[in-house]
Amino acid sequence: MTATTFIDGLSLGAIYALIALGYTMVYGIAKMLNFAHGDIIMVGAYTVYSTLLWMGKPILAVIFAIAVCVILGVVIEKVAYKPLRGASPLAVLITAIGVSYLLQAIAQLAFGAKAVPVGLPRFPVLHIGDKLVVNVSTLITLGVGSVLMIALTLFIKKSKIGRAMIAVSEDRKAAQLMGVNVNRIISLTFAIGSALAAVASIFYLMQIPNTSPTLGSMPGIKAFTAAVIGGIGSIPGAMIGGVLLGVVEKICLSIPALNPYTTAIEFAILIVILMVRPTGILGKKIREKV
Amino acid sequence: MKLSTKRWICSLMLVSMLLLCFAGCGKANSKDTWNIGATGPLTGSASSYGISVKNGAELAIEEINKAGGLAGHDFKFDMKDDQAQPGPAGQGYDVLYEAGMIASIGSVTSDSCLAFGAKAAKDNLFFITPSASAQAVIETGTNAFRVCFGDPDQGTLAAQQIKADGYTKVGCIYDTSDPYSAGIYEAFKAEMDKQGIAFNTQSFDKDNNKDFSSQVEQLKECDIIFCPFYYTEAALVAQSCVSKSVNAVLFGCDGFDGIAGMFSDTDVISNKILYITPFDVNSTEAKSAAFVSAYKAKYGSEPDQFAADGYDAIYLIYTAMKQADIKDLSLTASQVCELIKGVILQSSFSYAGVTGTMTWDASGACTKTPIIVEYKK
Repeated sequence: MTATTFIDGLSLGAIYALIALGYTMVYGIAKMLNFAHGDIIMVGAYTVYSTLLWMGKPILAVIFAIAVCVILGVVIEKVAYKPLRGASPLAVLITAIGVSYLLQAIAQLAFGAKAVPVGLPRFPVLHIGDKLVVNVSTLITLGVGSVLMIALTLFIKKSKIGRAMIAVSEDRKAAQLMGVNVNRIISLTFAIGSALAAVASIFYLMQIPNTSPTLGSMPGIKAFTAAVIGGIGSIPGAMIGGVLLGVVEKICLSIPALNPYTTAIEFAILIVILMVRPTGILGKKIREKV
Repeated sequence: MKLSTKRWICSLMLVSMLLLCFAGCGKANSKDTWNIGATGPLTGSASSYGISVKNGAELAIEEINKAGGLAGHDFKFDMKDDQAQPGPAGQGYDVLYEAGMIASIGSVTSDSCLAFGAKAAKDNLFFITPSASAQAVIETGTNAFRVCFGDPDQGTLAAQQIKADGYTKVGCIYDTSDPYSAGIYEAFKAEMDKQGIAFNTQSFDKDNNKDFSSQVEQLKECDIIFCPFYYTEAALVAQSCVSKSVNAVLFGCDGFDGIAGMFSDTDVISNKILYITPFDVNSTEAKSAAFVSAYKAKYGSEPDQFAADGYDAIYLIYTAMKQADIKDLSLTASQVCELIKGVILQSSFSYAGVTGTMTWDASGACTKTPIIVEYKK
């Protein structure tokens, strides 16, 4: 394994971690698996694509992508999930899968099934020493990703709203009795998760400059796996899971003998971790009340 | 009472629908056109190939009919949507055959064309596929032919070209989950081994077909990378090469046709991109140039290789039927097939189309000279 592979892996891991945070926060607070989360990334990517076509300004594309994803995330929650609060988890899960297909179908109608190139600015290559070749975009992903994750952790731990989020995730009814507006907290969770997904979509496009209606599927599933590996519901867990998966993926891809088994190895790690620690690396032990 | 009324209406509708079906059949039997059928993906993710073939074929039909058709009868072309899947391709065949198809350009994609060919073999219906390049397609029967190269041919050609150009540091990336890519790779490897040139192989599959930086990183010492896969992935490989500052020549197959559409304005591709293709849209050869301008006038976009193959397939059928002096609309598909084969299997027969001058042998394979085109922005 070269240093380049490791840095590439960390950067991919940062993308997975940003997406995984959306899964894990929504699970922790709304107690549901939002399988449409991966497709938010796809919507973000198409927003970047459209903005660049209309206005050609990358910075506007970034702002619009975040705005559109946040609005979409909140609207999906209000329209599709809120009426089902209190319904069986299975009903909510199926609804989420339905929303995912709906978003993909809309994208396919609007933009066609073929992949389209996205003209974000390209970044130069840095040669550090003899061996290390890193693209600046990789370093940006790594840097901004880390800053966002630290900021999110601080926000949850220190701010009043953050603590309200923890309260809702620990006991929704008690939090409500203490005057926390649960619906607002859930909306906010979706907004933050979608904003992180939008940022992830921009990083993704910096590495892989095209988008198609199914763009979100694979990163979505990988990030969900990362969230489960880290312990779903746990924010540091999502980060650890994401980075772990990213590094493993890059190492596997760079070894020709392992390359064809990359996806299998990633999911095998999930199985092994769930066998050893059924709640994930940082997951809490759940005690069932009798 | 209410229920039985409903039942009545339902059965009435069913009966009338059935009657309508038969009415349709009746019409088809008294045909006054030469019906050419095909199936291809007109919707779904592979639809661009099907639509291109359809456009090319319809342009050819339009030109032929404008010139008076054959023996005073027009040609009629119908392509059924198969979404690149074998099931709908087989159903499409049945519908077309019922409607009086006498010859066909088969299916656009290999899996579909295998299903199509299995049915066509039973009826001994002549078909010449524009683009289904898997070897098994022309092995479905003695009635099966193709316009495109076979998958293995391109791998062999590529290896010979690399040898001729004297490259020694050679890399290769291929898609393990795609029969097209894997088929070319196998032939490429066999020929490279024969030539005694060592090369570094990297692979990917359909679940990991976005991020190529790892594979490119492993091939950074190479002077040329052979890429037997389609243009969407090829463009991503080129972009990965730029972001990893890998300067190897990217050498691809006919799947590269269309790569230009996958680059945006911000892309500065420094790698030289070459690909084997039977059709060059910028060709100055009279027939190709006329085809390109007619296609642009009709559809408003440049034809790709699939459109050119579809155009040639229709013209081949027309040319062969004309040379066989077929005049009688009541001939069966099987009779037409034998007459067409009688023409195109003559050793003196060759057809100069927009994808080159082609000859056929009894296996159904097509022989033509490929050209190597360089992608220019």
